[in-house]
Amino acid sequence: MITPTAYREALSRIDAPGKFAAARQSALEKFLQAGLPDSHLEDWRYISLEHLERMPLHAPADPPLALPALEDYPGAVLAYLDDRLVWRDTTLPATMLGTLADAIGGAAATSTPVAFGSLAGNASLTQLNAALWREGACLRVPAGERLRQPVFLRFAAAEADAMLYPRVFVHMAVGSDAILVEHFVGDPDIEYWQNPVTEIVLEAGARLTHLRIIEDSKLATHTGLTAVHQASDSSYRALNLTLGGQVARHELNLVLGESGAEARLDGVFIAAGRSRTEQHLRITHQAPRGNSRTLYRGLADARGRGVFDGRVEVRPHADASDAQQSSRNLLLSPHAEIDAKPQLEIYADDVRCSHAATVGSLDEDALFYLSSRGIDADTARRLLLEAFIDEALGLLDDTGLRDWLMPRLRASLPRGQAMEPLS
Amino acid sequence: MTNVELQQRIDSEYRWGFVTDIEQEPFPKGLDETVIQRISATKGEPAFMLDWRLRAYRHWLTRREPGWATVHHPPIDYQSIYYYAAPKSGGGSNRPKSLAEVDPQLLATYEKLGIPLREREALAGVAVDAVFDSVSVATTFKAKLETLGIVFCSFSEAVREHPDLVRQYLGSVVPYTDNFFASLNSAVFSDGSFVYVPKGVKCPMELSTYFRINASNSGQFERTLIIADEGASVSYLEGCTAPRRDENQLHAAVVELIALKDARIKYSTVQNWYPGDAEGRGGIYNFVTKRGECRGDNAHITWTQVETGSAITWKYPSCILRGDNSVGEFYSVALTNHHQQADTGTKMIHIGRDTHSTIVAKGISAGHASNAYRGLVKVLAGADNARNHTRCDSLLMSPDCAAHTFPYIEVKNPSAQVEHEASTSKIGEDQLFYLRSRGLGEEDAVNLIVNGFCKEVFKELPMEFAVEARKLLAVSLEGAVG
Repeated sequence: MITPTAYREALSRIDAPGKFAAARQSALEKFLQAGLPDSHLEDWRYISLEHLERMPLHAPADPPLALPALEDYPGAVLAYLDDRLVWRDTTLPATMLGTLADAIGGAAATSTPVAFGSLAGNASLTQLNAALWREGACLRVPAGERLRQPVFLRFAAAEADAMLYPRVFVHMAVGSDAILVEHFVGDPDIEYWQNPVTEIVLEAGARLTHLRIIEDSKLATHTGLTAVHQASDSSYRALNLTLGGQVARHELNLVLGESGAEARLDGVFIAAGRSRTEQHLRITHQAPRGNSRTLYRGLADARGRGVFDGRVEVRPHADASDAQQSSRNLLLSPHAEIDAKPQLEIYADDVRCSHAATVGSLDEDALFYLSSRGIDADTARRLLLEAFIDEALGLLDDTGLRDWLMPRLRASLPRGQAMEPLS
Repeated sequence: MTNVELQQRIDSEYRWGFVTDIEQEPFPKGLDETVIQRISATKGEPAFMLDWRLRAYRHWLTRREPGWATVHHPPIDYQSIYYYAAPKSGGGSNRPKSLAEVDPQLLATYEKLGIPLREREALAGVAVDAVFDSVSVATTFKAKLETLGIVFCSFSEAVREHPDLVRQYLGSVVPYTDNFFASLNSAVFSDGSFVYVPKGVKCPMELSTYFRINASNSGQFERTLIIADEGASVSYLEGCTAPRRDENQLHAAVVELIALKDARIKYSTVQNWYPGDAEGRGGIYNFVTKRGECRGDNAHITWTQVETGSAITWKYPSCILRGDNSVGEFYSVALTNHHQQADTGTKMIHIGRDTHSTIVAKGISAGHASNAYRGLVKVLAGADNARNHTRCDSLLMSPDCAAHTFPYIEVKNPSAQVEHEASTSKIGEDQLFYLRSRGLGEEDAVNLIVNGFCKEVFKELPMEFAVEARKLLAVSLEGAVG
């Protein structure tokens, strides 16, 4: 059972204009009625949020506590701390990159083909975000415009037991092109809950490359949703990295809404310690000639549990659809667990769909080969793990972000169990 | 055959317990504890059976019908069902009086499959008394099996003659708490087959329900229990290729297989219940729980199924690989046409070390049909070196059909290797064109391609079944392309 008080109290501290106040109130009531998702729901059979009911969750203090040192980002930056925009470093005008509260309050709000909030759906956690998001971020790239630099959105947590609701709206107009990086981080010593929602609209021929990195505290809970709608001949390429969090779940709902849309979804997740991670993909081919490629690599170490749950649905008359899914996973410890659920749901006949999933462990022969060449066991293992995930990291080269990202990825790779010293 | 001989044949049914009480008043519709007590009393069951049925019933009352399968049907009113099949001579039902009253399409199908006239009558549910020829077949076989110590009889007879075996094994693989339909079956099951193969015995022939005279009437809540003792082996065939008409729309069977150390069970099914007409009216709901357990080391269970019938099929023949080094296999062809819906697959639960499983599932969807593979491969922490390979392919034959794949893979042991592949595609235009350019008619070309698609599964079937299955697929697909 959830206690409504904390959520109501959080809502009372948000001052929204009239029409949004009513919408927020109604979203909150819907959430309170539905409650937190539990394992009775098929989509939540592997990850439990029960612990949230026992946490003294509350809206973060106002203003945020302290401003931690900001790292270097190779591009435009909006940095949020406990849901407040605390740093803006960009030459882009505020109409292109600014807070969502400003964007949907202004006149320009009506110019998108898909309204704010209409992609996210009405799952209970999404309702909760709709009720309690604060400033949010909005990226609009005008028709034909190509952003030269990546846009970084940093969502950091600094207060213990805070509930955070980052909200992002991205509108890529006809033929536009951009790189977006969402980066979720937090104080490594605290528990908190990030429940972000990102909506992305791609108009005809638009292209977006989207990196989403969960690097939350090892004690944090992350339940994120990304909802994408693609118009004809648009291209959405994503790399989803889950490197942190005690419980980290990312749901990606992608709709290839018009003909010729193309999506490439790559991902790497690492479940170490006692963490639980879940990648939840829903890809809907709604129109003819859609093409989707999914390629995920997962690692589970120590007592970690990694879940890949990917579903491709091809709707009636979405002919000449081509969907391929690959989920390969490694179990690195006797107490770790991998669950994979790659699904195809096909309602058209002229399609080419396939998926493949594997679960195994590091190849002993390869380890032996490397050690016979004088490479120590730890290094050999690291080399093999890096090679294993590298297949899913192709977008790092396309975006020029390999140098920025690889050090953090390497730091997250499970290390070999240290040898017991001989006594 | 003289009338006297005829009468003897009918009497022999009683002796084997195939039909119990012909004078019995028809049971009322609906289900409560009284009905269950009456079923049990009618069958002359010992107290432990009644007790078990009642526990199952009370559990069933607490369960809700599952809703997760990708099938759609109007809600089932469980209180409007007869839970004990009325004996044939009680025949107040609407069964046809002669073949002339049977759906001509069904008759045409029998013609194509080359089914003897007498059998056609039995299959269509015409109110003849029995299929006499197979009675003699059954009795001859029975004598031979008895000399080897193999028990092969109806479930009711097993309850009376071998209560200890039934008590020891019944519900040990599919407990009455297992799922909604298994609970219902446990409470009200009418009859079914029982097989026990003693230690070290290799059953010399394929055992088949087809030889059991009452098989055509025990259908609705069938219960089958097969036990292969240490080192034993048996191959069991269920069903037949001919479409069978049945008045009971809901079928909820339970099959339990138990393979002890070094034992081997091969269970093959050809299911061709009435699928409803081309518009999707009528047809059987086939909600079956089938599960086998490799209880000892080196045990081996193989499920092979060809599913072409029923309006709705909901069936997951599974293997619990408890013994070290045990093997589970599942080979399936599921074909749906017109408005049929199938949600079928398997579960492989790896518990013992060095356990291996193989899954090959072929789905063919035509017309407005929907065909789903749903499977679970679970490797528990103690299952060192477990191996699984799964291959699911779907073939789409019309723009209005649907094909789904829902595999679940759950692995808790790092030395396990689990691989899953699936593909879905349309029947190849170029392949069709090639065959047609070589002078094959369209239907022959489709049949050839479909047979090639299913070859991996057909080769696992006993030979006579394989031949029939091929014919059956051809008949079921008629008019699906073109």
